[in-house]
Parts: sequence; structure tokens; C-alpha cells
Amino acid sequence: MRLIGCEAAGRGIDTFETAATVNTGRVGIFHGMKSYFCQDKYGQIAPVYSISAGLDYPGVGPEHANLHDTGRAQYVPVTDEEAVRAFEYLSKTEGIIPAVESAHAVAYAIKTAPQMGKDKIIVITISGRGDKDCAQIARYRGVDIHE
Amino acid sequence: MSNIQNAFKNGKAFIPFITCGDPDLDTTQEIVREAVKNGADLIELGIPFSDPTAEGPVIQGANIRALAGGVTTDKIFDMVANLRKDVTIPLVFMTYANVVFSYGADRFLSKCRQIGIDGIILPDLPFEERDEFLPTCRKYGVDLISLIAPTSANRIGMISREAEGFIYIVSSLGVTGTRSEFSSDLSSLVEIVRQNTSLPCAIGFGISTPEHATHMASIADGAIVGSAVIKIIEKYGKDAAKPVGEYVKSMKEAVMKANATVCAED
Repeated sequence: MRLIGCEAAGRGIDTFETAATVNTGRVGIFHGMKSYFCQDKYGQIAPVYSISAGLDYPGVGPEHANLHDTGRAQYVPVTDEEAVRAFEYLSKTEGIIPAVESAHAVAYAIKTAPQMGKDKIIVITISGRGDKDCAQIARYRGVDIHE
Repeated sequence: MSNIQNAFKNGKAFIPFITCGDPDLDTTQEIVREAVKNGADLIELGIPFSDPTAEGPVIQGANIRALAGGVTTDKIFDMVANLRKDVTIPLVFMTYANVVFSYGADRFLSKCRQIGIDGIILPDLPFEERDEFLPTCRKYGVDLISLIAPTSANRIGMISREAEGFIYIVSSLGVTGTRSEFSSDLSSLVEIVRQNTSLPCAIGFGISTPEHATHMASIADGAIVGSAVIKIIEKYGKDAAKPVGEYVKSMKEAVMKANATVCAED
């Protein structure tokens, strides 16, 4: 069984507007833990960005750092655009509105499923509901509505 | 015995805190020299950090200004090396764990020794986690200074017994910043510290007026002032050295008054 963690890449891991900590950060000590953090050469914590408020954080919990270091889990970056498309796709096809955080995982499942055999099973953790995110997704698509 | 204890040999100590690079490193040097000239016994040099979790709004502002101005750990090391050509009083760095860890603790502390830094204060390093840095501090003879707060309770004895340099007593709960009310129980806190160590102790957080300084110095061996100094720097910018010097003079006189008070009571 493979474990895959989907990180918020924001506008892309080659930009400064990202929160993909495992992919772009390095080990630091901050907020009471030693783990991976987005930071500069001198240890100044980066002003990270993601469309998802819940993922707009410069670090990951030490459990994730350990799963990464031991190779048990793989951490992949997912951009805002990919997450929004997945949000819309799952809402339209299944009537399940995933939280924009969870939509990052849906996006990677959409990307990786075609490369897997038809008898393989994918489980996606949808850890939150997306009705809270509808107005924000609409604004991302250029519709001027507010909660 | 570390050089830090020399700060407590001129009667009660006055310890100003200055954020390096606010508004720029040349001004920081002028301010340090002016503070020394006016009686500062030890100076805490803040290495700015993006997320200074122990600081109130005034020192947060200084951190933001200094970082926006392009200050880095390496530039601060160069500044201290320059200061050490004539400044002999004890100097300590106050910064956050990630600044040291990210630089590499060995590299950071060997540099501290090389340029003449006597101690470091890391407010986000709990006593129980200090082995992350303590062996390296010892290797280079840099004191790792411990903080004790009104909530330290039954940890006060343990922290005091293991402490180095001096003990930094946090006057009240919360972040740094000038205030008018302090923990009412500072005397008994200092009493527990005294029972467990012969190291000097100084009180900081919230102290701004000469009256506060006299009061705190009558309880402990010195007073530490940060936000009130930073406010002067914020107001006068590049011309802050003189007014900071005048302030330091008034505060050193105030802590010395505590000496006189104690003598009178004796």
C-alpha cells in the first residue's frame, strides 16, 4: 500500500507563492517542533501562500516529516488550479463537495488513476466539507460573490 | 566564571535590548556605543526573526523594519566584530531557535566565540529541549541563558540550578512591551532563585520608567528594558543614539538608587 500526501503548491513550487513544505522546505525548529519548514537561508520563516486557508502554513507536523524521511509516504505538490478543478469535478460528478484542502488529494487521485491498473483501489481522505469554500472558489473563477 | 558576571559588578545592572539593524546596522553600532558610554552594564543584541513569538507589537515592528532593511545573521556578526574593537562590556544575542539551528549550531556558536559574544537567549527554547544547543554552547564557552516566568512554579529550582551567565526573570505573563502592572509575586520568585543559585538575576518584560527600574532592581540584581528603548529608536531613526544614551543614563541612575535603598535598609 502506497501512502501519498498532497501538499499545497499554491501558484507552483517554482514560485514564492507556495506552501509545499516537504517539497520546498528544510528542517527547522519553530512553533515548538523540529520538522520541515519553508524558510530562507538564514532560517527566516517564509510568508507562504495557498488558496486553502487550512494549508497556508509554513510547516508540516513532525509525523509527516517522519513518514517522508523513512520513505513510508510520498509527498506531492498540487497547485491551486489543480485543486479547484478537482473541487468542481467531484462536486459535479458525485454531488460531494470536498473542502478545498481535501480537493488537493482529489486532484492527485485524478492525475494518478489513469496510470494504475483497473483492479487497483484508491482511497481519498476527504477530511472536510467544501460548502464553506464555494464563494472562494467562485471568486477564483472570477465571480464576484461573498459569504 | 563568564564575562557576563562582570555586568553585575558595578552595583545594580541596567541591561538594554536593541534589535540589530533597526533602522540600519551603522545606527545600531552608534546606539550600542552611546549606551555603553552612558552606563549600560550588558547589552542584549536582538537578531531579528520573521516570527518573534515572545515579542509584543513594538519589538515585532523593529524585527520587521530590520529584516526589510536586509539585515542578516552574517552582517550582524560583522557588526559585532567591529564593536568589539572598543566595546568590552558583556554582549549577548537574543534570538530564536531557528536562527541558530538554520545557521548550524556549531557554526553559529563558534562565530559567537570568535567575535566575543558572551551568551545567547532563545525564548522559544524550553529548558527541557536545551540539549539541542547546550553541548555546542559549552564547547565554545557561550552561556545559554535561561528564562524563568511567574508560571515556572516547581521548575524554578531546577532551571536555576542548571543556569549559566545570569537568570532572566520574566516580570509578568504575556509578550514583551511596556506595561504598568507586574506579577505581584516577583520577590518570592527571586527568593526561590537565590536559594538555588549564586548567579545574578535580572528582571525584564514591561519595564519602561525609572520608577519601574528602581523597583525591579531592589528585588533583583538588575533591570532589562527592550520595548521602551525600541520606541525611542522608532521615533528618532538614524538619530536615535543620543536620545537612547540619555535614556540609558536615567535608567542606570534609577537602578543605582535601588542600591542606595538597600544600603539604607541594612
